[in-house]
Formats: sequence, structure tokens, C-alpha cells
Amino acid sequence: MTVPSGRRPGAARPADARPAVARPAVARTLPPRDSRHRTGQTRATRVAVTSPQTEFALARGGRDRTPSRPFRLGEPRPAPVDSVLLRRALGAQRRAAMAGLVGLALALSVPAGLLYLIAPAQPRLAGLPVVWLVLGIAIYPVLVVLAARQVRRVETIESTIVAVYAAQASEATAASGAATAQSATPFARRPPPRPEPAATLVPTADPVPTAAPVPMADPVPMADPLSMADPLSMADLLPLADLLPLADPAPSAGTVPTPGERDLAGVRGWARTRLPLDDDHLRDHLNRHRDAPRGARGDGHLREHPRDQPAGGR
Amino acid sequence: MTAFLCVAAIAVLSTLVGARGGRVARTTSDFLVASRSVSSRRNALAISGEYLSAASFLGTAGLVLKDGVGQLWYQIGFTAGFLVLLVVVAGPLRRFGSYTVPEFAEGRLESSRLRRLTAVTVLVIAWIYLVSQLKGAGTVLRSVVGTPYWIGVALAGTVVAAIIIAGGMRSVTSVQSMLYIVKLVLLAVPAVILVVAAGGDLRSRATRIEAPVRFLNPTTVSFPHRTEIRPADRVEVSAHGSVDGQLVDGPVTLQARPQTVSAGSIFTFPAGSTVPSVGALPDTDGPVWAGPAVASAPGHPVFDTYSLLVATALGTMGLPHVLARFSTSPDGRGARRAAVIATGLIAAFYLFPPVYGLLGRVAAADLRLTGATDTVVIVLPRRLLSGGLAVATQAMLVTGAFAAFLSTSSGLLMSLASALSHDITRHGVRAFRNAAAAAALVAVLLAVPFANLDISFGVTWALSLAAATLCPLLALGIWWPRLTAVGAAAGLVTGLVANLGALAATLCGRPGSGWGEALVRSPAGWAAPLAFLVMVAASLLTRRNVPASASAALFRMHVPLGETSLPVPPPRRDAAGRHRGRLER
Repeated sequence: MTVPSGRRPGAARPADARPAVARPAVARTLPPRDSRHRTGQTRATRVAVTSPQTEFALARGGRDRTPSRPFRLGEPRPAPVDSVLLRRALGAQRRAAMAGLVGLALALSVPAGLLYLIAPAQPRLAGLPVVWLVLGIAIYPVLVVLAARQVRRVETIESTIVAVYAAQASEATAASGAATAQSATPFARRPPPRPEPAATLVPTADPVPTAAPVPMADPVPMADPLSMADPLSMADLLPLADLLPLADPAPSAGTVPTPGERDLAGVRGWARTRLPLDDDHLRDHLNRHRDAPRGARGDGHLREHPRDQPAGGR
Repeated sequence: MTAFLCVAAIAVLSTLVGARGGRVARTTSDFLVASRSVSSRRNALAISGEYLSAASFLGTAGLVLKDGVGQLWYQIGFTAGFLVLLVVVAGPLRRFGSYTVPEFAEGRLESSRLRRLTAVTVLVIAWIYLVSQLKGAGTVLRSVVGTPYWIGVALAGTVVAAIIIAGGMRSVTSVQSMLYIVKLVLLAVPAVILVVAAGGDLRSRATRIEAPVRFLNPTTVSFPHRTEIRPADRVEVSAHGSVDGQLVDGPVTLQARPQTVSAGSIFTFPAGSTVPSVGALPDTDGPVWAGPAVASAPGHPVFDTYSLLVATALGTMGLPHVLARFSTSPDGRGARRAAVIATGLIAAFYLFPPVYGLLGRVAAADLRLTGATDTVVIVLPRRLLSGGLAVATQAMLVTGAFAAFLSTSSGLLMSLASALSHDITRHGVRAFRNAAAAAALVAVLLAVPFANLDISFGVTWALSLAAATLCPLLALGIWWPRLTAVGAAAGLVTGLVANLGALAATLCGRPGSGWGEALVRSPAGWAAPLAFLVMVAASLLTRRNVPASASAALFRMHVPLGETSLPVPPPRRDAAGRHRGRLER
């Protein structure tokens, strides 16, 4: 499969290429990205930081200094919550967290069990009892590697979630723009919503996409007053499955999916049905995660951000 | 005197670094979360500096000497706790954006009463922890320099209060990141010096479990408590006191059988004689001492091990001063990266305390007779070195221990001041400074009467309390949409009552024997699961009260909009605004 060239990773994006879509309000309530982490802590830079409470105190008008007064996180509405996205994201994050905890439990219990078994024999290595070596030294690298893998896994998931969200946002705006231009909204083609079977709430990635992708029903949003009003239409969903590089037609026998890859199964399976067709930047990004060698993937992806430069190093 | 000068130097240095770090602090955001401007690496240094308390610097080596190599599970649990923190809390909590844990509780569950209850929990945990740190400072200064106990307590309390009043979290961040490096160097360099100075014979004896441990020199032991000793063979000692109720004064032969020495007795053992075994402690030449089991007390080692891992791993997740550090990262990714770097830094530090414990077994085993195993790190230089090198090495270790007291105490005082000024009384920088001074004063006053507590005592109880209160609140609040304020409050109260009840039973007298004692001695193993259960059950019973904003809160925590380096994909459409279709491939 050829990877579309697209923009080089890390290259500056032309200003006019930004999506016309306003980012959702949640994004805007966060501190501005460019000013807050370029300095080490000792530099005399202060930025406005808004805690949820401040946010709502300001929204109420005036400064409310009495901490006993309850505030409502939901009012005024801070952001439109796409409940479907939330469910998928939470599912993927939960799976990753459970995988991390299970890994930790194994990393602690397996050595413990083995040590109990071998302790009576008092085996030694390089003049030291093996029990001491394991408890004092060997177990720590395992924990550190587990932590690093967990971070990589979760960052892969979150990048995908954000990409999906951004793609959805641009999709929605384009749809509304087209509606005014053509007086025909793509949402008009949407079939009547059907309840989604519980078993398919979190679809898993199909490594071998079928020739004709099975149309999925629009997922039914949770009963949530904040949920997005209009999920994407069926017509938008149809042609996506075989296009995105999220699932190779036939993964080679030697390819072992990384933990992040496995956890992404839910997000990816869903993304295949929801992403726009021709988003080569997104494709680039996801390909980098999948194809790049391990070190390059982690480092290349992570170093792009100014936050990851050494503090005060510029 | 050298040690005192070094301690004074580290106190002055910390104050200066704190004042410098806090010179730009003006706003509440500066004081509470350093304006969220701390880079991952710096935050990781500060987290490690804060987390590695005196219990890590002095306590672990003492536990190894006292109870055996299996006590290294403590260190492993502390490190594993960071992994749990990383997996469950770090990113989402930072993304939620609250300054403190009580504020998270109110924001997530829409209840100001819950915020106050959480704040009280934070105060209890932080005060228990802080008192034990100040107590450690007083004890170490007294044992090495000879100053009265309260001077060390007051010195540590004053320095941390000054640091926090100067610049809140900005000062604390600078001080803690510096003190991590100080601690690591001042633990690692003496360890290397001691291992080299011990010589080949002592090193090989330290690694041969089966060889009985002998006194290196004629050693005078002053028994502070009534103690049961078991000499391995007959030994002639010079004794003043009483053995098995009979007064002795002068040379006496101790038989190879259990016998009780009264409090205040002073024995002088000859060089080369075997160090007697003590009471219920495992023999230093036996398989229990060298084995992988946590054998801190007879009875229920499996439950003790399980409870220990629950307390350390889950308790770390609920320590308010550690959680507050993650609020200083610019975003959720930064917080998570800080956690993973901190895991590495903490693991690096934990390579060294076992060295002291193992050397202590062959060079300072008499500390087991007096119960002062906590001081093995400080005592070893005098046993293995001589002259100026011994003084210098001991001064390094005392300074490192004091650095550990300062860095952990400053984080704890920070949490106390935040909870008092941000969650209980009115807001503002002035309120924060007043709260810091008041909290430090209370901690100093509380620490003075508790001169005889074990260093690790307060830490263990604080962890156990955190595991049964803030840990379930955070874990369920972050991952379970159906948590309600009533459920959270019920769980918090359950955890508080269970732990404080067990603590009171432990402090007031003997809690009994068998399972009852085991349950009271290590409550984390049952209190934390109980608190989780109560939280879930009470939330399900009050499911009508699930906050309307639960989805919004979870969305905010788990959908990391606006903080990733991911490029936002530009729309690529044709003139009519349609997708350009699959030909793009």
C-alpha cells in the first residue's frame, strides 16, 4: 500500500490550511497551547489558568468567593459532548487502563510466585542470592518498561480520538456549508435510526475488510442532553471502510501488533466507519503509528511538540 | 558539628532556592499549581523529590535489617504505585483542571459538602504524614548532633513554612527538584564508599546467608525496652541490669536459650561473639530473613503481603501531595509523561537502600537488639570507616535524610495549605500564606509529643488512609459515570472510620491476637475494597442523583481536545464542497 505523501510530519502547516471549523468550546476553554510550556518553571511567564470553578464563576457573572456555593459543571454548557465519541473514547481508554493494570499485576505476582518456589533452593547468580537480585534490582526495569509502554499506548489512542473528533468537526461544518450552497443537506439521505445491538457498541477492527463493507446503523446516543444533535449520516459512512489504512488487507504473518494497536481495535473499527475519505494527514498520522519502527514512532511523534523540548533549552 | 553545619547548609540552600523559584509568584494559580508551567522532566524530578521521603531514605534499610529482604516489597509497592497512578489518574485528573482533589470532587459530583468532606480527608492524611516526617527530622538531628528533639522538628517546620509562604507551588517545585538530586547523590556516593571500605571479607559475609552474624568489635548494647534475646551459643558478657528477673552486675554467662532482659540493662558483648536473635524477629542467618516473604509479624504473611501491596500501590494514588504535583503540568500528556519519568527516577533511587540493609546485617546487627534499626543508614559510616572519612560520610547521609524530610514535608504542607485556603476557608494568596503558617504550626505541635513513633508508622497509616478514601473517589470519579455525591461521601466516611478506628486501636493498646490483630495492624487490605464497595453500592442506590454533568466531565477527562501534538487535518474538498473521494488513494 502506498502511503500518501501529504505533509511531512513536523512541517509547518500553512495558515490557510486550518479548518474553517471553530474548535469546540472545550478546546477553547483550555489555556492557549503555544504560550504555556515553552518556558521552564523558573522563567517569569504567567499564563491565565482557568479551573472549572473559575470558569463557572465567571459565567455566573462576578467573582464568587464563597466556596460553599455549589457550581454546576454542565451549566453553562462548556462543550457539546458527542456521547458516541465519549463512549468509544472511554471504552478504548478503559481497555488500555485495564491492560496496564493487568500487566502490573502480572509483573508483581509472577516474580513473587517464582521466588517463593525457588527460595528454598537458595540459587545464586554472580555471588548473590537470586531472590535479592530480583527484589532489589531486576524488578524495577520491568516496571519502568511497563510504564513507558503504557504511555505510548495511551498516547496512540488519544491521538486517534482527537483526529477522529477533528475529522468529524470538519465534516459537520462542510455539510452545513454545502446545505446552504445546494439547498440539499446530506443528512436528508439518512435512513431512520435503528437501535444498535449492545454487542456492536464497540466494534473490533476487522483485519481483512470485506469487499463490500457492511453498513452500520447510526449508534444511538446515550440519553444525554448535551449530546451532539446530528451524528454523521449513513451515506457518509458507507465508503470509508476499505479506504483508511487502519486495517491492512492481509497483515504479514510476522507482524505483531503493539499493545497500542490492539487497544485501538475499538476506536479503529469505529473510525473506519466515520472518518472522511480523503484526509491524508490523518492517514499519515495513523500510518506513522503503525509502520514506523518502534523507536522512531515514539520519538518522532513525541518530539514534534515544543512541550517536549528540554525546559529552558531555547 | 560537621553534620549540623551540613544540615544547616541544606536548610539555607532550600530556603534560597525556594525564594528564588517563588519570586515571580503572585496569583493563586502561581501558588497552587505553579501556573501549570512545569515541564514534564522538571515535574518528574519534583515528584520524585517529594515522594522519596525519610521512610525511603532511612526506613527501608532499617526494615531490611530488622525483618529481612522480603521488606523490599515496600519499595516495589511504592514504585508500582506510580504505575497505578499513571494508568488511572495522572492524565484525566490534570485534564479535569481542578486545583485540588476536593475541588475535583465538587466539580465532578456537584456537591460542596462533598468538597468539604474531601478536604477534611486531605487534612487528616497530610497531617499524619507530615507529623511523622517532622518527627524523623527531630530524631535524626538528636541522634547525630545531640540537639534536643524539638529543635529538629521546629527547624524542619520553619524551613518548609518559609519555602511555601515565599512562593507556594513555584517555590516547592524548585526545591523538590533540587532535593531529588541531592538525595540521590547523598545516598549513592556513601553507599559506594561503604561497599568499598567494607572489604572483601565483610562483603562476602554480607552475601552468605548461612553464616552467623558476629560482633565486629566489643559492643555495648543498652536495651531501651524489655527484650527477649536468644543467644546462638553460650557467651560471656559484661552486664548491668537484670536477666530473667535476676539482677546482674558484672561478668555473666548467657546460655543458648531464650531469656528476657529488662529495660535499662546495659550489656557489653565481646568481639567475635554471635549476635543474639531477638524476640519475634527472624534470625539473620535463617531462610526467612533472606527469603522473599514479607514477614513483619508472625501469623498471616500472605494477608500482610497483600495488604502491603494494596496500601502502597493504591495509597500512592490517593496521596494528596503527589496528586497536586500533576496539576502543575501544562496538560494531561505532560502529567502522564512526568509520571513515567518519575517512575524511572524513583526506581533509580531504590537501588541503594538495600545496600545499607545488607551491610547493616553484618556490621550493625546490634541495632536489632535495641530496636533502633531505623538509624542503620546513619550508623554504618562509624562502623565501617574511621577518621575524617567517617565523619564526612555520616554528614552526607544526615544531610540527605534531612533533604528527604524537607522535600516531602514541603509537599505535604502545600497540600494542607491548599485544602485549608482553597477548599475550606476563603480563597486568595493571603489566605494561602496564613493557612501554610497555621498548618505548619499545628504539625510541629503535634510532632513534639510523638517522639517515639517509628518513621514508617505515619507513612504506612497515611498510605492506608489514602488507599481507602481518596483512591476510590478518584478511580470511580474518573472512570465511572454513575458515581454520585452520596456514594462518594459514604465511601469516604467508611474509609476514614475504618482506618482511624484501627489506628486508635493500635495506639491505645493491644488489639488482640490472630486475625483480629492482623486486620487491625494492616487495615488497607480490607478497608480499601470496602470503601470501593460502599461507594459503588451507595451510588447505585442513589442513582437518581447522578450529576447531569457527568458526561461532560468524563468527556473533558478522556477526550483530550486541544492538547495533543496531532496536526488538525485540514478539509480537502472540491469546489462544490464535496469530498474528493476514494481516488485520492
